[in-house]
Amino acid sequence: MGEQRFADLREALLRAGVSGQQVRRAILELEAHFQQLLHEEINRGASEQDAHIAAHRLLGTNEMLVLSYAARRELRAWSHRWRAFWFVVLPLITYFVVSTASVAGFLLIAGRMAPFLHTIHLAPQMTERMDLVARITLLWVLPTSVCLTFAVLAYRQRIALRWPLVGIFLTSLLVSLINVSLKVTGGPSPGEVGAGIGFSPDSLPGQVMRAAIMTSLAAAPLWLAMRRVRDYKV
Amino acid sequence: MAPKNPKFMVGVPELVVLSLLGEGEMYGYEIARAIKAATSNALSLGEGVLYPALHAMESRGLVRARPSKVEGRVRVYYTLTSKGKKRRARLTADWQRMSVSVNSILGSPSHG
Repeated sequence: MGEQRFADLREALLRAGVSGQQVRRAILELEAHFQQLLHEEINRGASEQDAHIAAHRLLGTNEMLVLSYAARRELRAWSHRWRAFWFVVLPLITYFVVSTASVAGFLLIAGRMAPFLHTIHLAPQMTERMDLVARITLLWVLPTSVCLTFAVLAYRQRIALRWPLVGIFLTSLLVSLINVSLKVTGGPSPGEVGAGIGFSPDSLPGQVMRAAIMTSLAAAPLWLAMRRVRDYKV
Repeated sequence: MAPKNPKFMVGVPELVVLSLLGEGEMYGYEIARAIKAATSNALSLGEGVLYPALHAMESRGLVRARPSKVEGRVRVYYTLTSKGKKRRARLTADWQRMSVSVNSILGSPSHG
């Protein structure tokens, strides 16, 4: 009975926007307090059942506790205060920063290796494979990882599903409009990196499909996880 | 400038907790028991409500928390910080000023 109450309370506090760290502290201290009330009642001669009822009454209802935590702004999670920024804008910024940093890192390494690259010649198949790996990394792995990271954060903070879903969809849509090419051949002009953004009537169906697949990859686990914690009582 | 009148009862639980912690380090259950004993249940809120108040005071730097393991359970002890001491002094002065004002009205002949 007691354990279920604290599991429900934990869930309700997270949904009310209380930060995860505060929720852990709250549950830890409230459970300890409850146990002491229980011992106190039993030592007074109450039966175990009566002691449980009295301890719950003395601790106060979950509803009262949730209201009391939610009313204190300083105990609320940042992500609950500016949900649109955290789950719609920030994933886009994060993808932009991470992908730009990855390309910059690659160019830096390639620049350092320039004398060596001038002396070699790569087979066309190798060039194609490197291009494919770059596309998969920048256009699939990175954006999906960014979306999944924000999905996990949204789950942990029990953010309303619509915010991370909008963020995941917009990030996926943006990424589906981007094209990247990497050509490393070696020799006198050893390579080049190209990137562009846009759409055309011919490419649009494929891009929409890409956006839909990427959205599903990140949104499906989030949706399933949220379903798991949907049923709870305060 | 005349000090502002505090809103009635707002800040009273905070004042009570800060005053109790002024006597020494305490953990939540101890504070709840001390409030109960000192006020003869006049301030009877759900004891759990003490924790959001303590956590908020901690995040405002009024109290410091120290977790300690006692009989296999983590117990969090709270102590007053210097900022908490100043806040307690201010709240006490506010409360005493308000209490004197209210008492003087209640004790006036028109209310006798």
